[in-house]
Order: sequence, then C-alpha cells, then structure tokens
Amino acid sequence: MALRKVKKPKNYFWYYFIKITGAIPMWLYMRTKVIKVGSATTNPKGAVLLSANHVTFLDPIVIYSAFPRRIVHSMATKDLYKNNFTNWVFTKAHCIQVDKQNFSMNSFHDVCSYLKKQRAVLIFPEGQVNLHQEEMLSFKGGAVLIAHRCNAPIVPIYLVKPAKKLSRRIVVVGEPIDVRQIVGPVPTLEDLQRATEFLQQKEQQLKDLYHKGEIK
Amino acid sequence: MNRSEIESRLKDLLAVALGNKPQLQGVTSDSHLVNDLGLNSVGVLYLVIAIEEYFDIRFDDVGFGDFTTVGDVVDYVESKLQ
Repeated sequence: MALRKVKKPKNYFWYYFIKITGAIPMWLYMRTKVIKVGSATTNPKGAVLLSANHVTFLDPIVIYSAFPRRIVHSMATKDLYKNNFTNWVFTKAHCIQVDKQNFSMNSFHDVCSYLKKQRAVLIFPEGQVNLHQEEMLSFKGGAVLIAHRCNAPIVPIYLVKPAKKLSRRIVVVGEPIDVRQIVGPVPTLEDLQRATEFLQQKEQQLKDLYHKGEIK
Repeated sequence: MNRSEIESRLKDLLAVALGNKPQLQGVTSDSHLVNDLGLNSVGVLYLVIAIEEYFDIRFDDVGFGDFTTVGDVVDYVESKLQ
C-alpha cells in the first residue's frame, strides 16, 4: 500500500501547539536534562540531521524538548496515518510519513525539502524502537546517505534508556559530523557504510562517556 | 535517449556505487538488484538518487520494492524521459 496522500499544512500553528502542550508534561514528569559534549549545541544553525538511538516511543517528544528553539521534523511510520485522528495530528505536526518495508522516494524528497529550508530532521538510524537490548542496534545507512546528498551535518545524540516510564530523560548531544568530509563528494556504498559505522561509534562514545560518569 | 543508452549510464552509476566490483561484469537487464548486485535498501536508494541527479528526473510514488531487476529501473527511467 502506498503512502496516504496528505496535504501539507501551510503554517506551523498546530506544530507549536502540540510542542508547547507536550512540553508541559515533559517538564512536570520527565524533566529532560540535556548534556552537551564539546562544542555541541541545542540550537544548531541551518539544516541539520539529528540522529539518535531509539529507546522509547516518546523519544521524538524528548528531542523536541531538548531542542526547544528549532523546528524539528520527525519521521512517522505510515501505519500512524491510517486513523483519521492520528493522520491529522502527525500531518499538522509536520512529520514525514515513511514506509519502513518499502521506503518511498516521496519520503526522501520530503526530508530533503525540509533540509533545504534549513530545518532540523530527526532520524533514528536503528530503524526501530530498541526496547529490550542494552546495546544499540546496528545502524542503517539511510541517515548518512540523506545527510550526504542534502549536504547537512549530522548531530549524534545518545538517549539514556529510562529506568521507569516517567523517569527523568537524559539527552547527550555530541558535536556535528560532516559526512562529506569523511567520504568525499562521490562516495561508494562502502564509504557510506564506513561513515555509518563512524556515526554509530560517535553515539557509542557519548554512551560510554555518560555511563562512566565522565560527563554530567 | 534510447534504452541501451539508459542501460549504459545505469551501469556507470552502478560502477560508482559499487566501486567497480566484479559483480558488475555481465550485468544485464535481468540482473537482480539484490541477489546479483548485492544492493541493500540503502544501495537502491543511492542508485535512485544518482539516477534522479544524472537524468534530472524525479521518482514519485515508488518504493524500493517496486524495482527488482536492472530492467525495471530502465523501464521506469525510460517512461519518465518520454
């Protein structure tokens, strides 16, 4: 089944409404704590791809609260667009509809168009929520390829797995990575795989730094 | 641009993507993108992006699962160029 046709909203009223109303329970219960490593910032300029490990279904909201001054577009699986209400919510929230089984070029074009408008796009390279394993799942190469083709830096983010549902959420933000510096202007698939491994290593380093208590 | 020219350009793009690997020898329209050329989903995305940029066309409403062989891709490009 193809992606559901949606009419993109012309403004960001509902995006901000959802972000602000969602922020209130975040501040009350989860109290997102952001740890910046090196020259990392929560207000990166221009187009940027935010790459995070995926530990709970609330991760996009956690990222929204960690980057309050940026409009962040996250990806949403096409199943979430089947129901009229959720279709309305995710469309108004300017999410990008994706088909995990049969990735559509329309999704790629949507991501690129947002990046060309100097927006931030959130991507989870693990490709699924990792509920049960402590170790990160192997990263898929789509994030690196998108960053390369759209010429946007990737900001590696490590999300600490919460002990309980409403435990405090901790977000570790790393320094941006320029994929083109790693693989050059015309990479092979092997080069992209190497860059994907590099990205995963960076997120693993953030994880190690946090769990060894070297950053607080 | 005729079909054989499209196929030839496609082989050039595959050579860039795969770094002139041996599986490129003997590529035909029937070559399977995954089984014969070893492309995964990212590989197919790479190829499609390269095609879009090279031929200045846009792949709309198609997913990776819609292309099984090199011939399928050539068919799509040909239809877009007409």
